[in-house]
This record gives sequence, structure tokens and C-alpha cells, in this order.
Amino acid sequence: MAALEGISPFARELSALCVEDDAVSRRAMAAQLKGVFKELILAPDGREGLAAFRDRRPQLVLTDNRMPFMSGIEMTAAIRRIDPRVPVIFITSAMDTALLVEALSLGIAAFVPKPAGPDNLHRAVATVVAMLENDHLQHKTLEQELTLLQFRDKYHEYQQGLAFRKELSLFENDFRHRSFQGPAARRGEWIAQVEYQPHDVMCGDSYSLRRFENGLLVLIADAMGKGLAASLTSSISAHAFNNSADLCVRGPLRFQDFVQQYTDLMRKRLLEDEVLPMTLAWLPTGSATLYTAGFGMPPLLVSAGGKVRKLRCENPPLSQYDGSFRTTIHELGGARSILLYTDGLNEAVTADGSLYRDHLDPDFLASAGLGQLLGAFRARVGAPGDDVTLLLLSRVDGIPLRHETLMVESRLEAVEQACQTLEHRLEGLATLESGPRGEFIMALREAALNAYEHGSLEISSARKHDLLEEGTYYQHLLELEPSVTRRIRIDLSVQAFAGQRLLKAAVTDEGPGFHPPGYLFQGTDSMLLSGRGLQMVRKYTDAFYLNEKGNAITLIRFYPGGSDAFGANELE
Amino acid sequence: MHLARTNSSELTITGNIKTTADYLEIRKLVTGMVEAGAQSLTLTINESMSMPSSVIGFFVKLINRDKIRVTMLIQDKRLLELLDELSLAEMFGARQA
Repeated sequence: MAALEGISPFARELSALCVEDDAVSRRAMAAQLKGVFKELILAPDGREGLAAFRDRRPQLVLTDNRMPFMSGIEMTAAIRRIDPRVPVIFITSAMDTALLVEALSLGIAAFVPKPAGPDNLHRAVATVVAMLENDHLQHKTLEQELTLLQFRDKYHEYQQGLAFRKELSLFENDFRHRSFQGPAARRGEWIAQVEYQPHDVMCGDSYSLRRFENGLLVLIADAMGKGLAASLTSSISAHAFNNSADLCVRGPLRFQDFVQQYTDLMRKRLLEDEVLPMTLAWLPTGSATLYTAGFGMPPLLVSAGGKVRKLRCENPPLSQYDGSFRTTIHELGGARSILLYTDGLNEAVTADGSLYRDHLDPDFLASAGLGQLLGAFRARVGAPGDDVTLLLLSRVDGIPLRHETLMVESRLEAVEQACQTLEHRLEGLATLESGPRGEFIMALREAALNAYEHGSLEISSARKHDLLEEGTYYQHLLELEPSVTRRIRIDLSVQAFAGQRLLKAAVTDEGPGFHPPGYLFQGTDSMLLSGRGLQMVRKYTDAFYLNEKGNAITLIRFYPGGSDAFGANELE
Repeated sequence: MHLARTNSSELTITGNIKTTADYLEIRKLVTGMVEAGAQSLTLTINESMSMPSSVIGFFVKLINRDKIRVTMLIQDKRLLELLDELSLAEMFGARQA
């Protein structure tokens, strides 16, 4: 029984089927294979062998050929239809050429001449068990590798998500849903809209918009390369920018000094062969000028008087080698919009094979607001192959073609009546379709109710939630109303904008003002009973912004030109 | 807006849901149905493209505190989209009518 030692212990994890019609031979084989397998199934002919195979699914088959009812070859052919891979050891005394060819075509794993002596039998079993063990190990290794890959994927995905959140936290925007005094000869109300579309989770684009007592400072950067390496430079650039800005944010900013300080800082962080394309822009308050320091970036676009002006950048991309730089002062009288962007926008390939830069100027000129410009870009490009960042600064205080003011008592009924009045007014704007009109009214209602609840009546979000929970909120409002003398002012106006109309509704209350937490603009806990009004305002407007004090919200919606007369008020 | 109670647990809302009066009317009718023993409610919402935040808050409370099972059969895709964006589609059992 020396050969038994050559059979791997792995055999004890297997079950085997032994098919032999001769009872003596069957018993002899069973004796020779005793203790080798976990289980040895015995069958007296091919038919019963096949039935046993179906029922028990052994991992190995040993079979005689000449048997009543069904031969070994016939049984193997039937087994192959069930399991094409199970190894079969053929034990036979007669093997002519035709049988051999047929056996080989059925993928017989080994042949043992009859009578099957223990050495021959054990050698064949050892070979087949080794083969099965090898398959098993390969399969197990593959499974382990797959599990490891899945784990690594999940781990990397988790880490990338964390890193992306961190990267986003470095981009500051002091003008998120805030207006600012932008370039204009005297006063000019502007808004800033941002689109940040990373191609990979981590990307090389970065931006920041910071407020100073004497103006607005903007950074837009597009670090060399893509992915993780580029994102490191982009994170450093945003962090260094915000750090420098924080150091001088309380005083008046001198643009030249800031650029010097910032570029000195960044040069130290760039590798020998690394460059950083970026633009710094400065819009001083109450002045129709724009200061720029561009480093290898696409031109800024300015829309003024129905034309696009391109402000080319002054310097090559920032590198550690050249410490000098130039800045430019641009006169911006009559400017309506300013667009800063990374090359993912103008270098994007459109569906017709052209570059989007060929379409950018007319699209920019024809677009009112960031939503329309992005819509035009996506219609031509689909999914861009690079990171895309856009900063659009738009002047929203044009001369109104129509303007109307409603003063509303802080009573639920009066607020409701005012909303109905405004709805009738908007029905007069023939080119504002019913869908967008309904959405704008919905947003206006939410804004007016916020002014009433949180402004005039000074009910905090937490208190509102508690009262709603108790079911006494509306009763509470009615109880408070008589003691409140504050009023709500709603200004509705229409002005011309990019060949279209800009519909604006400003809702101002006389309360102390508050700035809602950022999450309320994005999404609330779905279990909260309140806090969705601002999300609806965001959804149903092209832009909205709060004033400094936090007691006025202005909603903006663009619509096709052609109508600007408000409808008559049926209630009056 | 018009409310029609089909049976003890079914309600059809026709027209746009937008005013405070609409909210108060929905609240009154639905509260009455729940007080009468309704454990689940099916609302068919025809036409309305949106839903004021006050109505949303009321249903959030109804579902989570009062444990009422709500299904909303919504005709206008814009309302379905809004509820989806607010992560409320599943909670409100919202689906296309």
C-alpha cells in the first residue's frame, strides 16, 4: 500500500463514485480505496452509476466499461452533459482503438488496466486527486484575490470620498447665495454662480471667492495633469489662497501685494517640472474696473453691450523659475457678466468634432445665468472628458422695465392674499410659460412664508419643528399675529438680460435677520418636519441670494423676452 | 385644489396644491381619516406639480410619528422628481399614477 501515501490528503475532502458490475472486483476496489475518500459510492452498472452521479454529485468517477444496461463510455457521455469537468478514471481490460478515441474525446482523465492492481489504481487516483487539488487551489486563490480587490475597491472608494470632501472644504465661497457690490461706476449688485465638475473623484481644478472690505477676490486654478497628483496641487493652491486671504481679509486688499505673496508661496510648492495655470481676479467695490493676474489660463470673457470681450492672461503658467508677473486693469463699464473657467470647458470636444471654444462666445452671450450656459455646453458636448470649473459673475441690478412693491401685513391670510396677487401679476407675462411661472410662484410662496414665520414672528426652525410635532403650529402663529406690527415687503421687477427677461422678486422682512445653515440649501434630514422651503427655492429659481443682514431674499428666474407687463390684479 | 375622499383610506387631490388653505384642508381631512381608524392612506395626486413644505412636513409627521403607511400615486413627473430630490419618494411611497 505504499502508493496510497502518494495520494494527497485532499482526497479526504472528496467523494468518489466507483461503478463496476462484477461484485468481486467492486469489493476489491472498495477495499483498495478504503480511507482514501470522504465517501466512496458504489454502483453495479452504468445506469445506476449515472443515477448515483445525479443524486450525489461526486467529485471523481472510477468506472468499468463493459457493464449491463449502460456501458462505462455511455455513462461517461451522459455524465459529461451534467458536468463536463468531473474527472473519470477508466478501468478496463479491453481497449481497442475506437474505444480509446471515444474515451479520449470524452476527456477521460486516466486509464487503469484490468485487473486493477493497487499500485496502478492508486497511481491513477493520486494523479487525478492532484489535478483536482490544483484546480481547487487556483479557484480559492482567485476567490481570495477577488475578495481582496473588492475590499481594496471599497476602501479606496471610501478614502476617495473622504479626500474629496476634504478637497471641497478647501474651496471657499463667501458669495454663496449672497450678492455683492461688483464693478460698476457707482453701485452694482452682482451675484456669483459656481459650477465644479471633477472628472475624477480627485481633480486638479480649484477655486475660491473671498470677500474683502474693499472688494471681491477670485482664484481659479487648473493644476497640471489629472487625478490624485493634480488634486494635491489644487488643494495646496486653494489652501494657500485662503490662508493668504484670511491674513488680510479684515483690511483693504492691495491686489499687487496679494499676488506677489501668493505666487511666492506657491512657487515654493511646485516641483521642478510642474506648472500651475491659474487666474487671480480682483473686483474692487464701487469701481468699474477689474484687476487680473492670469497665469497660462484661457481668457476671461466679459459680456458688455451685446458683445464678448476676451481678457487674455498676462503670464505663462506659474512655475518655480520666474518670480516676475504682470497684472492688468480692465475697464468694465457696462459689463453684464464675467466668466472665468478652466480649459475643460473650451477644450471640450463637441458632438460634431469641433472644440467648444468655437461655440463658447455666442453661448455665453446668449445665456442668462449659469444654468443656461451649462445647458448649452452639455447640449454640444455631453459628458466632458476633463475637469470643468466655471465661475460666472452676473450683474442683476439692471434698470427695471417694470417694478412693483407690495407691503404685506404679517398675517397668514395677508401673506396668502399677496401671493395670489403676485400670481395674477405674473400671469400677465405672456412669454413666461405656465410651468416656470408656477415654479416661481411656489418659490415665492416659500420665501414669503419664511419671512412671515422666521422674520416677522421670529420663530426659530427648532421651535417650528417642536410646534409642528405637537400639532399646534398654526394655532401658535395666529396667537402671535396680533402682537406683531412688522410688515413684509415684496418687490417684483422685470429687467432686460441677454436678450431675455430677468424676473426678480425680493422678499424683505423687518425681523432681526438670520443666515440659514448651509445644509438647508442642499438637503435636510428626511425626518425633519420643516426646513425644505429653501431647497424648493433653490430648485425653482435660476438663482437666489440673501442680503448681508439675512432679512431679505431675492429670487431670480429668466424667461424669453417679449413680455414685461404685469397682469391686472383681479383682487383689486 | 379639490379634495375627494374615495373611501376610508383613499383620497384624490385634483388641482395644484399651493396655498396655506390647501395645506389646512388636506391636514383636516387626513387627520379625520386617521382618527377614524385609517392605518394606511393612498393619495392620488392629479395635476399638482409641487407640494408646499408645510404639506411635506405634515406627511413626514404622519408617517414617522403616527406610523401611518402612505402611498402617493402621482400624475405629474415634476412632483415625483421633487420628492425624489428631497429624499422623500420612498418615505411617501410615491410612484407614477
